[in-house]
Amino acid sequence: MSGRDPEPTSGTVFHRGLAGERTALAWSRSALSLAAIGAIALEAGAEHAPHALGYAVGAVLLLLAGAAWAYGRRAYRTTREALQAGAPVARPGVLAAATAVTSLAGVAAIALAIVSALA
Amino acid sequence: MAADPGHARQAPDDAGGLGPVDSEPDARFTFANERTFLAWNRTSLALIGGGLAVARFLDIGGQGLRLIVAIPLIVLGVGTSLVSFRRWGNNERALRLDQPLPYSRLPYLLVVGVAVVGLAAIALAIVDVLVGHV
Repeated sequence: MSGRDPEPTSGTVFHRGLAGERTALAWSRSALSLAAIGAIALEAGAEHAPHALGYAVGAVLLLLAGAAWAYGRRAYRTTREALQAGAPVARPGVLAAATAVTSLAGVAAIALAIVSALA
Repeated sequence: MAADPGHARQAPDDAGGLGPVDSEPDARFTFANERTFLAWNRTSLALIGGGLAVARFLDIGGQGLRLIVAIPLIVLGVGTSLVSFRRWGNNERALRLDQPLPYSRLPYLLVVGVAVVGLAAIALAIVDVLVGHV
């Protein structure tokens, strides 16, 4: 079957390329969700004071979403390389950063929600 | 790959602070674990985004009433994110120590949380109609 990697990993054969592709897709989906929050934040910034809060939160989240998407695309390549080198592929640091970004987005969202309700 | 008793858990590779490991697990499992975390991460972001949307766009009478739905949703999202990261670490550790994956109450907690908020939203909507704001 063309495309199947002839060198097994841990006794099993699997498509190394597909693992990287699924990883990139997973990151891009998170990036999209983060961008959606950023877009709502921008809209909140445009609607009422303090405008700076919504604009700042929205801009930061959109930038972070772009970074997450770019990271996923890079992972598409580095994943394959790591697998072929037999290197460890766990990324606790990156996932911790993703958790921190999500949590901070939540805090910012609460601030924006309160501001919206009081406006 | 089997560690001899005298050197169990002495493997130098600890993958960035996860702790000593017996053996590097099948990479597929680590990738599946990461994608599982990212799936939870999307759920968290959806909850946060949904809560913010409720705060921004929900047209219910009192100013503060939307927050009754919005804030719990956002908090649920942040909680899910933190718990899912801890779950990722627990799973990764179990993979490395060749133990069964630990049971997680995260899906159960999420379902209960969303159901409670949903019921609160329904109650709010009914109250809103009765008070005549629609």
